[in-house]
Amino acid sequence: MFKPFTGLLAEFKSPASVLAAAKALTKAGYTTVDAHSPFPIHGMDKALKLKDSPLGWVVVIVGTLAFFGAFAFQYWANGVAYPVNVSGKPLLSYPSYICITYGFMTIVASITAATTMFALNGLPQLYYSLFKVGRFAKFSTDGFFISVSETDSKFDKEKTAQLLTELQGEHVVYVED
Amino acid sequence: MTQVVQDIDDTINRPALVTGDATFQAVTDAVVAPLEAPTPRWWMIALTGTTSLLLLLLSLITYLLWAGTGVWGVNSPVGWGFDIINFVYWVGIAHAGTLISAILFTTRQKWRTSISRFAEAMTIFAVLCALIYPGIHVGRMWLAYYMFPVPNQMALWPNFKSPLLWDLFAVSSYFTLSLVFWYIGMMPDLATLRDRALTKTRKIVFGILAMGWRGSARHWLHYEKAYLILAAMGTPLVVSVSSVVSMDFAASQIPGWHATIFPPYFVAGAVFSGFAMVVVMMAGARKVFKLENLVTMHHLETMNKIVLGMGMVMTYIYSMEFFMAWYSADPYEMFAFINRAAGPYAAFYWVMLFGNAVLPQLFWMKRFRRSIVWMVIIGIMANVGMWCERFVIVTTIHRDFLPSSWGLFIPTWVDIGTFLGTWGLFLTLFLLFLRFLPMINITEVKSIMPQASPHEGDKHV
Amino acid sequence: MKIWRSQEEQQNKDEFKPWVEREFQPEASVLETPVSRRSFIKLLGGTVAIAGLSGCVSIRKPVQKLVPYAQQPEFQVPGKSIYYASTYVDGAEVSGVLVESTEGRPIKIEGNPLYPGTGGKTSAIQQAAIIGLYDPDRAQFPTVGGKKSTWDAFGEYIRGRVSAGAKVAVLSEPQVSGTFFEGLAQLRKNAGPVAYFQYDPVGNDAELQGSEWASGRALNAVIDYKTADVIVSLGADFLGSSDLAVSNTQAFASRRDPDSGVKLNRLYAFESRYSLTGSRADHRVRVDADDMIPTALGLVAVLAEVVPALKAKLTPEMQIAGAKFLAVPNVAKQKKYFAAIADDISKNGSKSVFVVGKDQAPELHALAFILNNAIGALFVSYYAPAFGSEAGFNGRSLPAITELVRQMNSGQITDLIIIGGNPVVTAPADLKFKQSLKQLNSVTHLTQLTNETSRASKWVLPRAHFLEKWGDAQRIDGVTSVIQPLIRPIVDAKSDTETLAVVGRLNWRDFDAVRAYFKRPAATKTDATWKKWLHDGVVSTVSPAVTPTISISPELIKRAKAIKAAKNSAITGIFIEDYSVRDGRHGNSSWMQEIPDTITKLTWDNALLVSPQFAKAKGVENEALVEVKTAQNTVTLPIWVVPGMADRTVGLLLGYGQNSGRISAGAGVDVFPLRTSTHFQSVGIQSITKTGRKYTLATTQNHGAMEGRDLVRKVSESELHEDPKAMKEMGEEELTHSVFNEYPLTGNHQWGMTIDLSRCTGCNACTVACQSENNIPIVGKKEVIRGREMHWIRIDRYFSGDENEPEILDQPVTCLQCELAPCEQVCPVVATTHTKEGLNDMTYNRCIGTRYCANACPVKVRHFNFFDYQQRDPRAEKKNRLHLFDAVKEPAKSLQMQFNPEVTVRMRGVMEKCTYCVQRINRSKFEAKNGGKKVSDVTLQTACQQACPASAIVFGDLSDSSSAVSKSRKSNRDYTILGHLNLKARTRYLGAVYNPHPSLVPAKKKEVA
Repeated sequence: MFKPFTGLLAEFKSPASVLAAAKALTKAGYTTVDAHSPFPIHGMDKALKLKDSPLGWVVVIVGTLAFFGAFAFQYWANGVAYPVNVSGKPLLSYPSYICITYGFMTIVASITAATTMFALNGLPQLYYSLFKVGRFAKFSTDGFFISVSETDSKFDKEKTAQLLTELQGEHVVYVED
Repeated sequence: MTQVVQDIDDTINRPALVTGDATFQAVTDAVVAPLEAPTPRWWMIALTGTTSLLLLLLSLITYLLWAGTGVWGVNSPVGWGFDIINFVYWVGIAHAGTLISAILFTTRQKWRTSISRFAEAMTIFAVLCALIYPGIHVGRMWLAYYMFPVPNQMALWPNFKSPLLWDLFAVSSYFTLSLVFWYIGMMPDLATLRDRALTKTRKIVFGILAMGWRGSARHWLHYEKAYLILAAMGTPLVVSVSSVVSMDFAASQIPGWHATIFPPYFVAGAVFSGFAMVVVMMAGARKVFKLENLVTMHHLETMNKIVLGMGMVMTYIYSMEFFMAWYSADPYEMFAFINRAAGPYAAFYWVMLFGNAVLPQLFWMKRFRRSIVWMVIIGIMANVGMWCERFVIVTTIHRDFLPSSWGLFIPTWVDIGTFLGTWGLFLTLFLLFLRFLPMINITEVKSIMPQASPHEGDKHV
Repeated sequence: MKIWRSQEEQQNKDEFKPWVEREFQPEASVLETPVSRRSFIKLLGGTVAIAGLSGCVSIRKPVQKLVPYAQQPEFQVPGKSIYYASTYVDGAEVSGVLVESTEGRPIKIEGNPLYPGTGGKTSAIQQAAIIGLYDPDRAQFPTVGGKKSTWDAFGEYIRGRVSAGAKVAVLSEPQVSGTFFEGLAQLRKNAGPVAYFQYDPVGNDAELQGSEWASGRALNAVIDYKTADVIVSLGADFLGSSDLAVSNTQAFASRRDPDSGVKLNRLYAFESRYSLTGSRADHRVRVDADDMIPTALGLVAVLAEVVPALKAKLTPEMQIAGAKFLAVPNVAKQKKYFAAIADDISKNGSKSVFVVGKDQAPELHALAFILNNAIGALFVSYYAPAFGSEAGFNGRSLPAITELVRQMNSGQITDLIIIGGNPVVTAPADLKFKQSLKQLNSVTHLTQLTNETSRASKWVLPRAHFLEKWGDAQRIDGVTSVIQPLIRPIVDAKSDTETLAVVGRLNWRDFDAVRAYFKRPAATKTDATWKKWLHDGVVSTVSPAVTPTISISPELIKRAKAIKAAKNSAITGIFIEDYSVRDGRHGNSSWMQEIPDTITKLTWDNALLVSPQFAKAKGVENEALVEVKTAQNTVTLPIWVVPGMADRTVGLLLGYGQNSGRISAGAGVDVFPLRTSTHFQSVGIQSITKTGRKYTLATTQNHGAMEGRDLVRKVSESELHEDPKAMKEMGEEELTHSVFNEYPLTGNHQWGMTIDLSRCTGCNACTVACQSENNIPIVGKKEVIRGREMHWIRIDRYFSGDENEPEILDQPVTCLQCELAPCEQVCPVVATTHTKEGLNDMTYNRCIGTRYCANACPVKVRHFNFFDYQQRDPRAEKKNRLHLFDAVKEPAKSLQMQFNPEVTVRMRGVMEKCTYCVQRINRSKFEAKNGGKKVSDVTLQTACQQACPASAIVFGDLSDSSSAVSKSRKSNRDYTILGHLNLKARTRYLGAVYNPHPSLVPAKKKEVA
């Protein structure tokens, strides 16, 4: 998950220009293009041809397991493992299990959503080669960047840099891990 | 780029959400400025005050642990007093945050962006205050862990039929989700703080908190998904938490408690008090931190409309409660409601009606909706009213079935001190939040600015 | 080098010395006295109790040492209680009891079923007697001038006085023991003419005087309430403040139960205050104290018309007075009652009876004697006082104490030995008893607790509790029984007779004296008989009743002439013997202080009882402090409004404001200063002025009205007869249908309880019995004010009807043991669950104290330990070890000895409630199993049921159709409270039935309040 990065970084002026550049790069056959922006840019996923996030499915599956697990556990705990007569209620009094079933599912699902997100993004990753570039700090304020990894089959240090400049990229730098 | 966005959004005829000097840089600067400025005097003074209250809370809890629950005014028949009143009250306050973040996010209400962080922080701090009470209200605090389903040598599990346990799960799920949601939402902003950090300490602390966020498109892909899912899960929680809390009462057979209307009643009340609270706090904060451009009058007015709407729901429920009591033809039920309005605690009932049902009606008029003074007055009164409502509900047991067991709950100084103490906790956390974390979601605000749209850019470039 | 264990030892500090010398804790010092079986068992029992206690409240268990028996004591099975028959004696009150002893410690008092009359039942005060034994405030050793001394020193001193020619006298509480007078006679042989005086502040003086005026003999009347059909009470509280209250209640209640097939009796009660008896009356008539005699004479005048024999027996003066008073408005307004009584008497004749309270005027007693004689009342027996007449006072207290004071003042007495009591406070104020004591050479007080009299005495000697001594006792009606000790004196105490022996240097041991005394009648002398007496607790039931005839004294005629109609502006204060502390003798009993008064529901205090109308007229309300001024004196009291009080009568409750220990100190106000020898029963109040201050009173019930709810159901017998469903259909419909499948209750037994409200008199015996059985702590006045009293069974008292003429409806409420208990489902930690046998159980160890169950309980019978009440008892002691959460105190060591080892002592933060005495159920089940028998109503009784003098509580197995509780469910009076909640309560009620005179039934059917 924690991929080191070596490649080119270019800065763009606006969301529009970075989006256009991204589109152009993917069109040119680059597959490791990534954009860095202070906020998600509408249409970027498409432009980079990114697959939909599997996060939703993970949460749904884990959440469902938590849901049924919680329900079954309550029945087991109060009805099987140590059955006691409480207010004359039947052992399987499912209406009373609803709240906890739901609550437990929410706890598990919310933690799953967060951890899955971290996992898919390879976070936490406190060191990343791009952070060495001083201008890159702008990404969290008003900088828009495109990075191309040298692992890309089409990567060529000069040509790609050239392309990035053509696409209105500024301050194109080669970053080594 | 230093264009002034006009007062009117060009797509729909709506007031702009960000006014004034609105570049991305300006937004960041505006939000981060208070964090980077030298510590203001007022902040130190306020923090001294709130930490004193916090200290009071800690010492009173110690005293309670040492001496026993008897230091509170609770008795028989009123086994719950300030503990549960304040628990429900704080849970209620918490609700606005989740509602603003979750429901308004899923329904794509863009105006939420400027206030969501603030409201979410309130949620977390309020839930923390609320969570103190279930822990300390039990007679043997050191055995409170019996409530958790942990394997033990007695092979005995908690009673999952108990609404108190539902409560435990509801509030802890609420806390978990709120915290996760808040943190995830804050990650990009923490990266901003990291990248702007001037001191080494800040760099390290925010660096760790930001987890190496680099705003990559792939990050955003998973991030947005996770955020959406959390928001989607938060949406039913807004409704469910207060509903479950209300079942603490509704699941018993006590007249005045045993009512099917309780879940919506509590939800509406929670949203009502929560929003009122956000308005009050926000009205102050935008002034102090000069955030008038981000939190506009339009924001406040919208929230006031919600306060009005919820006030109307409360009014309806108050009258419906009386109607149902009468319609039930149950003498105990009828008595319970007449006793609320005319019994020993009638004053609380009428303050409740005034604050929750009467005063918010002023918001029908635009003049009041847009007046900072009025919205603060109404917001505070709404919270006083809501506290009284919880008082009225919890103390309903002072006169239940057998007149022989009737009695009164009179709070002691420990009760009152503990309540003040939780305010100390709440405000201390809030002051720390204001000083050390971005109180407005920079990322989201930027994303709804016109120039954030790649198509918007086309026109200008 | 000297080895030291602590700095204290190193510095040789004084307080450390006893520790070094003793090595053991103080309670172990018993070992230093010659070892006896009892002391050994006692010590062992104490150790086990303390060990058991600390085990459940501590986090770290202290090191414990168990000492095995070197020789197994006979009958002693560890964990198994043994019952001994003994006799409870409190002044003139005598009652046979069975005392439960566990590992050598007496822990509970029960009634003796073989003892005649009481049916094995007890009163609240009798139940509480057990903590009198263990009271840590008891005088521990003889003192002289406040300094520790010994019995030998006292003996030497007093004998020195005797040989120096001192005139020694004895002032005693009423003595009911033949051996005591035997001892006195022996003493006189050795020490010359020792004068004997007897004083009882709440004695039977008026009755003895009245009967003497009417018959020439001082007699006590004993009435058989079991057979009397019509009872007319003139201020008589025969169910409450009476030496025979237990047997009276037992007999009376048996006539209030329509299911038992008997005809209901009819009780007319004329009274000024609201008494327990008045609350049971079919017709309660409010009469001001000063109107009582005129009203009685008016009644006589009406009766004389229908009972010819009466007319013949009345003196002309009486007839004239009767006719005169019948015209007085205050009396005339009661004519409808007179007519009804006349009607009943003419029909029932000799099956009727007139009864007068001991706190009424002697004239009234004389009148009642004549009335009973005239109608030929069959069920009154007369007994001359067996003892106490030797000084010529015929058992009367007032002349005795007056004469004593006269003799003290005139120097005829130089040394006084006071046995029991607290005459410094309780003697009539005008006698100035305390001043007279100062003229004496020495005063000796033999007492259990050091009170005001002890403090005015030179010598204070610890007096043995009745469980610590051998003795004999004779009830007023001649029933004699043995007092058998259960434990060696816990303190350095001696019995009354042994004290006399010390004075007279007699070779006397109580045990031998008692045996000798019983051998004297020569009827039976064998050991077998003696053993049977000890076993049964009863020696003789021979009735020494006398048959007196009317012989009216001139004094009575003189007094009859002097009777005047009351002024409508006069306020009379009546002195009321308190139900809890009597004249103050039980003031240091924590249980009795915290028991709510049956009528006022006040605890820990007395108050000036006034009627609502009086309060309105004077502009005073509850808790307002007022100054009550009489010709003699002034006291300041808080007001307590009691509906049903006569409007010109104020109630002064005796027995408070005395200091006989840490419990009684500060409880209430002493009203004895208002009581003089001329105003012994009641006193004219000159003024009642407001002070403007308030005094907070602790009541356990703030609200007295039933708010139209169907909780206590009461219908007349005829209504129930006409419509058998009258009771069932009075309130909300009972629901029994659940929307879910109920958990099956599969136990072999299904426990249930029925409480008969027709029988119940609200006497509190059940509450104290429960407290004794279940180790229920007291909480103190402040906590009662906060509403945190712990009594597992309480008696709800509702007033209904007109505020001025209210009825009282009593209802004992304890855990209803609902099958569908609302408390169980809300407990997050399953600390309260249901057993297969239908019990709603509490698992104290599991309880974390959310108090949710108490909130959910519809009848609020769950009680929470808001504090560690055992350690907040004013008599608690510092712990000698540190615990995390209970580091401060624990119950006094001696109080721990009373704890029932079968019941957990609850710590703070724990909810507790009635368990149907689950420990008794289990014990009974084990015993039945071991014996191959079935659990039966006889072998299994709950503590409250066992104590209830009215037999109002029935408990047993519902699955056994022959059990009493199953039968009670078939009664047409059977109902449940809050039946519409589908609780399926196992405790159900039998509605109250009353028997009004047809002419007095209100036209409209009475609603519940």
